[in-house]
Amino acid sequence: MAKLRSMVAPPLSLEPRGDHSGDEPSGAPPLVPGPEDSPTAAVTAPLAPELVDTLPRQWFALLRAHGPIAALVVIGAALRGFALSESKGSLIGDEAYYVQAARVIVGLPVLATHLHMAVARSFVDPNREHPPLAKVIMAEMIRLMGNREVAFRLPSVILGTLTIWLIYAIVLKLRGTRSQALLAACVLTFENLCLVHGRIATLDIYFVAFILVGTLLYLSSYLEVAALAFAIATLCKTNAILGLFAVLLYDAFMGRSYWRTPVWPTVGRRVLVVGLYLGFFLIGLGTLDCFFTEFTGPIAHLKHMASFHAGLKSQGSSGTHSTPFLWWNDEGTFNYLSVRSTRHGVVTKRLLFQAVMTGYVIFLAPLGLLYAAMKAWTLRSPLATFALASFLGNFVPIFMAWAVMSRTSYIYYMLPIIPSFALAFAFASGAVPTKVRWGFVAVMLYACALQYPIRVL
Amino acid sequence: MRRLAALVLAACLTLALAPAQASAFDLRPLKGHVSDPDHLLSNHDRSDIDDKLTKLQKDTWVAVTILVMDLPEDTDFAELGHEAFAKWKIGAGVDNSLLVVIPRTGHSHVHQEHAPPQFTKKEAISVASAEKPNTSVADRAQAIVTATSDLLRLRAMHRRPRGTIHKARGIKFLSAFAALLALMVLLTIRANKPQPTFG
Repeated sequence: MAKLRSMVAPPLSLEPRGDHSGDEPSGAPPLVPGPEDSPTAAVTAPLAPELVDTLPRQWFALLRAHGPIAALVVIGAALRGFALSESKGSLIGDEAYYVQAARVIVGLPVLATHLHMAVARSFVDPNREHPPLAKVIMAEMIRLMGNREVAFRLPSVILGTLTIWLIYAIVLKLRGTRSQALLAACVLTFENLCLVHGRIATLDIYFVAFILVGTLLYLSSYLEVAALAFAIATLCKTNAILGLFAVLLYDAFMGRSYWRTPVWPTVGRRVLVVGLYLGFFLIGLGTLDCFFTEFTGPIAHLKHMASFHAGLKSQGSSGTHSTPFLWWNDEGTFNYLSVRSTRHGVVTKRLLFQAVMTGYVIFLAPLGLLYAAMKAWTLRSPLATFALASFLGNFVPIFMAWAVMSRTSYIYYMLPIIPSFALAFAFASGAVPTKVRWGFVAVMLYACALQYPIRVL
Repeated sequence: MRRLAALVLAACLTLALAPAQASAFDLRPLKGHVSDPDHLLSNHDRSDIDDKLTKLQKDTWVAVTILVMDLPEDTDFAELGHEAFAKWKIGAGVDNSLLVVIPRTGHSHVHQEHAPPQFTKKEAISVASAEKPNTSVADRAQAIVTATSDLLRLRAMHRRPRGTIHKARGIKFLSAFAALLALMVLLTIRANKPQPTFG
């Protein structure tokens, strides 16, 4: 009982501090642990009757503190995991590349209708334009659970659900309030692009989840472990390098007073983190290359990836291609999969997986980011500064690649940028009345209900 | 004028003959694992063999396709196999696929398009010669399917291990990764060591 009590009492340091004076108090009131709260004291001393009375209150406090995020995580998992095999036999969007690659890695024959690669060898990753880690995870799941939709989509569901808790924890780390953290988590739970990518077997949700893991570790001062997380993200998809860029940008913004007189030990630790990141990435890529590709080392593979991606030139806004300008108006959308089941001429089921952002999110994003940018400059709020840094770090390079190098771009490139929108909304929500926050949650639910990809009619 | 007419005639003849040269065999679209354009198998046999090969593919991860056809004795089986692989995309470019051609008369042939092949030359001959002479096409096909299945199931028990490509080099990279991991742990502990407080 006493052990339970010691578990229930949250450490004081974990209680977030509000970024705004107008914020409501976050979660449970902090419990001050007394000397009898230590496990050793509990074993020797009998439980005082007045403390027994406080236990239900502690349980209530625990529920109040962690219940909402637990509920959001459960809802997020349910939305992502519901009817995973509904698209029996069909691959959704770029699954046609990555699931096929995973099947080849595991040694399965690939059906002719799914062919995207000219020639492939069993056990060797044919999708050489991306690092192999995410595909290897899918392949191992296929080996473990068989060649079923659940097998290759389950990691996406787990990682997609994990992002909900991660963004919540990140807001708390950035001194946001619990209600701000919940609002950010709500965005990632119900936003369409996050939801769709959280239930299909593509590389994007893998690297976004690992970027958020790295970000949380970085903000928790585990910089070296964060380097490993960012390297793992980059081993899933090379775009993840922008995640590290974003946190370094955040550091630079937060420490702008020291630009003229740098604190060298601090700078040195960041340089070490970058070095560790590069080391983990190159050695990790080399390891994966030797076991799952025909490359003899990471440099040859990097050269191939660089030449491949440099060759992808924009073909205007047609089909799946679109320009970054269009994304801000929620244009450039396309369908990953559209299937209608009919019985006696009546539509009974509809599967519509769309590459489209939730309108409320993308239309409010410029306002949220602008507000965050203003307050990042004037208040030096960590939450606002990180929202801005995360947006700039992830969006500007993609925009520049399109603008300068005419690189092909797709609307789902916005997926790693949506967490920065969530952070900006979370920050801005501190300045609006509670009813407006609830209104935002309501419209997110409404949009999710309209855009949910599976509908039984 | 006469020369022009001759040229036009030659061009027309070339165009007319071109499709015949491009496709020398009557290969119809493949449905399932069995192609039987001349209906040499009964529906029951066809579906039975197809079921067996589907199960074999599930168990051993090798796509086997059977082509049963009435072919002349001087047929170029290598050319036929090549054309069938190209048209049907058997195994879709992946190496774990093979085609067995069973003519109405004469010996059957095992065709493997990709390197490394599933069967060695000796194994391919043993599979092809599993058919008993002077039996019906259906019996021959069943015998070949059984032989292929036995061999592949035996092979599945001794699957080619993963990562044989640059295994030694991979282990070196893995060791380096482990060393870097250890360094990271040390650096993390050092950086996050609680500082002594005074006063």
